[in-house]
Amino acid sequence: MRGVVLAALLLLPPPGATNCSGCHAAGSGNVAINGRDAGELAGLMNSYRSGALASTAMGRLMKGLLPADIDAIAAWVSVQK
Amino acid sequence: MSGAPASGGGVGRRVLLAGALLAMPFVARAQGSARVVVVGGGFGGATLARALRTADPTIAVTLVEANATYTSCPYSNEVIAGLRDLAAQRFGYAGIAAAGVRVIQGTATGVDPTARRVTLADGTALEYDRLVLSPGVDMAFGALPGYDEAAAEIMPHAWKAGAQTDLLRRQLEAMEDGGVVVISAPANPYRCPPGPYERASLIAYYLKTRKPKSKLLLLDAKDAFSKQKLFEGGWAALYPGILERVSQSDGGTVTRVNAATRSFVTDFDTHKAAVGNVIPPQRAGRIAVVAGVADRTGWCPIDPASFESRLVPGIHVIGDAAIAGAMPKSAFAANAQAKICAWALARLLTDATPAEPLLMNTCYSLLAPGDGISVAGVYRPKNGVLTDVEGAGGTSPLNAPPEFRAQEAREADAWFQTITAETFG
Ligand SMILES: Cc1cc2nc3c(=O)[nH]c(=O)nc-3n(C[C@H](O)[C@H](O)[C@H](O)COP(=O)(O)OP(=O)(O)OC[C@H]3O[C@@H](n4cnc5c(N)ncnc54)[C@H](O)[C@@H]3O)c2cc1C
Ligand code: HEC
Repeated sequence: MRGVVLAALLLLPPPGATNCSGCHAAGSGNVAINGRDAGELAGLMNSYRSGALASTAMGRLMKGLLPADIDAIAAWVSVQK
Repeated sequence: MSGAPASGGGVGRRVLLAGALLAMPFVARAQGSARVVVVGGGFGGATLARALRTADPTIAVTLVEANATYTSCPYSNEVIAGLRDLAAQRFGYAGIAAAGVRVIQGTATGVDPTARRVTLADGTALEYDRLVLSPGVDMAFGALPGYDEAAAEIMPHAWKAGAQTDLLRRQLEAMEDGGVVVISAPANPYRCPPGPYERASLIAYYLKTRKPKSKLLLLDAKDAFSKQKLFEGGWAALYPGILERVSQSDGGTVTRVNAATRSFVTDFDTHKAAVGNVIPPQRAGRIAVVAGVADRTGWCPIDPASFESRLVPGIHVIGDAAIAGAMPKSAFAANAQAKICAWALARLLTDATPAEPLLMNTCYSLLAPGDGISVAGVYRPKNGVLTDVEGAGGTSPLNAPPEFRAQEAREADAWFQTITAETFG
């Protein structure tokens, strides 16, 4: 527990990362993203951004991020509980 | 830059108070845990209280909230249309207390920004290193002639959820078929830009399915509004002959109401309603004025990286009360701002600079049950103002197939479940 808290402290959320939890949580109906592989997350986010993957909301939101934002957010989300 | 004068002042004060000579950066922490007081336990304040405990568990967080339970405005239009129980809108504060937040039920009535002290109606005094205000809105009674608290008992606003929501629901239920429901919508800015139009849609749905001889008239003090094309397309398809909107240019601005006759007065006409719903002009909650953080517009200018007031150092304002540039006054925005503010506070209280923020918003509305639309935005500061990132955000596609609309309605449900769980635990 304490370790998780410390890890969270050391890993400040990069710009944009704290928005995701407003929609994504386990069991809410929207798919859970926390703790998943960073490469997989970034791949999905980039596909929404480019339009390669059709979406309702994600495409519109990911277009506001730069590729570097996406990598940093994916890395942060991948270590969240 | 952002927040620098305040953090300097705050630490300086503590040094003076303690009589310490060590002008070192971590002095606030060395003398015990930093204290943050949060006023208002809605989507902004409740999120912030919990997020701050995550960002830095050493900070002592006190949440002051007037009510024992919170009643959510999001999804309250469904309650008004008889699609949902008011009980499903209620959330308690046990989850916030469980996160280690001291929750006080009471009303903040005074703020002394020099002594850094908040006083409550019962006389309790709370000292803070940083104060966060998330008081939401007050109805600007008096701004619309004829509309005051007493008139709101006859022509409800239902723009704060609870008894007002229930009153409007009961009036609609009691109305005889063939009656005219009138809604008046205010000029910008106000809480939940698409809210009046979602409400009109769902009341029209109720009339169409339960009282088909009735009509709904929406008197609007604006010409343009949020998700306009999507709403107008939906109304033409779903509620022809039932829902009529009068724009500002066509004389929709209501200049006076008369509760005794349930009438709405515009420049050209007087409309008598069987059920009248007045959505009046609004302003930041009263405590923002008391604290001196509201400007002449009635809203609170802030720094976008920390949400610290531009007027009073050491006080942060989030949610509806804040002037957040292009961000709308929504629960989604209040929750997103709260998380940015929490991490900024954790930084400021250790004399670090808050990170550059990047915020998002998404507002869902229902045209009818299972028929959802949305508008999204992504925001970064530009010259100190939260500004739309170009090329991002926007509304759902026009003429989307029904499956897409049904999917967005399901995602709206998922959003509500997620955000209320994140906010209240
Ligand atoms: C009909 C309707 C539908 C809506 N639908 C949506 C939607 O679908 N999606 C969306 O994102 N947003 C929606 N909103 C907007 C949303 O309700 C607000 O934007 C959100 O509640 C703002 O959060 P806040 O923390 O600023 O204020 P609030 O949630 O109003 O919280 C303020 C809290 O502060 C307390 N308080 C105030 N002053 C004091 C004091 N002096 N002392 C102690 N406590 C105090 C109040 O009791 C209250 O609990 C809707 C609004 C309405 C009216
Ligand atoms: C407004 C709500 C909302 C927000 C905010 C949001 N998402 Fe999503 N997300 C969705 C929805 C809905 C989907 C399903 C795809 C779609 O958009 O149709 C999704 C899908 C995803 C997926 C694909 C998951 C899978 O297994 O298929 C990933 C990854 C993802 N989101 C990551 C993020 C990240 C990271 C953020 C924050 C930067 C974020 N999302 C913010 C609503 C949201």
